[in-house]
Amino acid sequence: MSAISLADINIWLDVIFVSLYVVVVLGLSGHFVGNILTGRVKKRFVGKQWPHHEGPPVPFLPKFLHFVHVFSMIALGVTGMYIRFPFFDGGRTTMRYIHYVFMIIVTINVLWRLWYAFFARQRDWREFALTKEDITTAPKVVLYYIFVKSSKPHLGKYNVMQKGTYTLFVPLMLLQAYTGFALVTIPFIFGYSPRDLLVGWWLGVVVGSTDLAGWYARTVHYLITWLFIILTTVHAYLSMTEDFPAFQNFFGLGGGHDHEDHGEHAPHGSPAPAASAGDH
Amino acid sequence: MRVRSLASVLLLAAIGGVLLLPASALAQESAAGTTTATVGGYDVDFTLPTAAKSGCMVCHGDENLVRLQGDEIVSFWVDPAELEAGPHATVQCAGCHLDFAFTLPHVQQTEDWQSTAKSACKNCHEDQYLDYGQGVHRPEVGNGATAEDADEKPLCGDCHGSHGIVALVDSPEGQQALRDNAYEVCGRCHQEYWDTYADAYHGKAFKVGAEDAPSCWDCHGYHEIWPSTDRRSTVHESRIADTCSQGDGCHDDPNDGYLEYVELIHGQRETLEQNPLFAFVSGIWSAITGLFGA
Repeated sequence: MSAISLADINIWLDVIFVSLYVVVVLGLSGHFVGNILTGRVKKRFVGKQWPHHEGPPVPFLPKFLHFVHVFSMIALGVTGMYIRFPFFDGGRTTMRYIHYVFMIIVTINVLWRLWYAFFARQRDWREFALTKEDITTAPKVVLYYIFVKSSKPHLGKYNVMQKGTYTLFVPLMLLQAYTGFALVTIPFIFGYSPRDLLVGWWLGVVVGSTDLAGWYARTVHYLITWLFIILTTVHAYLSMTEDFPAFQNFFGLGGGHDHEDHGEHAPHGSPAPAASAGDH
Repeated sequence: MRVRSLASVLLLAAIGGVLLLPASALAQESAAGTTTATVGGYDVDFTLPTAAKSGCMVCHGDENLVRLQGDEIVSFWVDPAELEAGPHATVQCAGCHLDFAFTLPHVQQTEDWQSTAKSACKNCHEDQYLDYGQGVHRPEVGNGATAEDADEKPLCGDCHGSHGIVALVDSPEGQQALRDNAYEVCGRCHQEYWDTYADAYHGKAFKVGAEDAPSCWDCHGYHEIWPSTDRRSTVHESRIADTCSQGDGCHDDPNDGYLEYVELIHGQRETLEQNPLFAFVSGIWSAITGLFGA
């Protein structure tokens, strides 16, 4: 028997992430109060001083993919949590099938987005690429978000925290898709299940059991689910409070920005005015 | 049955009352098999059934057939539709009610007619009864078990039901009905284990109707059932791997590492409460709610 049993790991994961999520929600609530007290809410929502964006408007395709992604992730989150914490009667099979459908949609979606980022005519991977300047100015961005500074460096379309988060999403999504497919035990591929093909033949050998390999896949899948829930909650909060017009625009609800350069941005590498601090 | 006076509802209730009283005080049985009883000043004639089920159902097929037991109205109605839909539709009533005496009352008051009926299954389902006789549910006296202990052991009918019994062999509907009724079958006696059957993938899922979640008997077995500490039990540690890997929908090759999870199946809550972070968070929550007088 290992030092910590599978049973304990299961419980620890539940307790850690539920507790952490409560802390995150409380933290964001506190942050919003900070936004009110420092006048940022009034400046943005009343004074309409939102960040300006240089460059052309975001094309339709990435916005569409983003929308599909949001919808799919919500569906996957709800159905996935139901599978782990069944909270109403009679929905297991239905919820599992919905989960299957959206896992295919979201996998296609993320591959499509990666193709767009790297191979489309309007490829935009550079907007997400972390630069050395991003890293060196990261502390100033953090200080802005915790209200120590009134502005943060404006280096491009996305700040260092956004770039880091969005970049992290990619391997997490791919790993989530991999571990998710590895949970399917139906032997529909020439008599083998996705679990057999994705983890059974190697991890199963290492840990001595296909079931146990599946358990590890499930555990990683569950852990990443919580990371997504937490990161997405923070992302949604910041997108709404820091740049509400961009949030609206991304969902086709109006909003949007004047994309001309008004000359209000601070030069790259220097602090931007407070009004343009929350670039999205 | 011929009714001489008053409304049938009152009369049927009165008949129920008759069943409570000694036959000698109320009824006279004629040579022709007709019983006359005096209830509440009214004479009631009964033609008690012989072997035919239809005879019993003349009275017991009426849903108003009740009697007062203490402060409780107890129904003696047997739903004809339920009976006809079940696997015992062609079985005569007296085939299970073995001590039916063709008298009024139908059995002597000293007789435990319900236990007789609940155990009558053995006459047809011999193999199942023999299996049951091997397991811990057998009403055995001796080896430390008293007659009182034996009385508390479940009989066939306690788990399988009575007139509404469903066919289980090759019957997905019957199996589903049994799963839906799992609390009545196992939980009401094993309340603690029912309550602790609460892990995400087994108990919690089973209780919300997940088709692929195991019922109590899927792991513990049924007629020949043993405590988990007994080597004969299907959930004894020496047999648990075989039990987990049974059938098509369970686990393929559970090894020792995988089987560590077993402790959560009935121990999820206990393990959670032993978790230090959970205890810490619960403590904070209690302090907050205590502060606001909740």
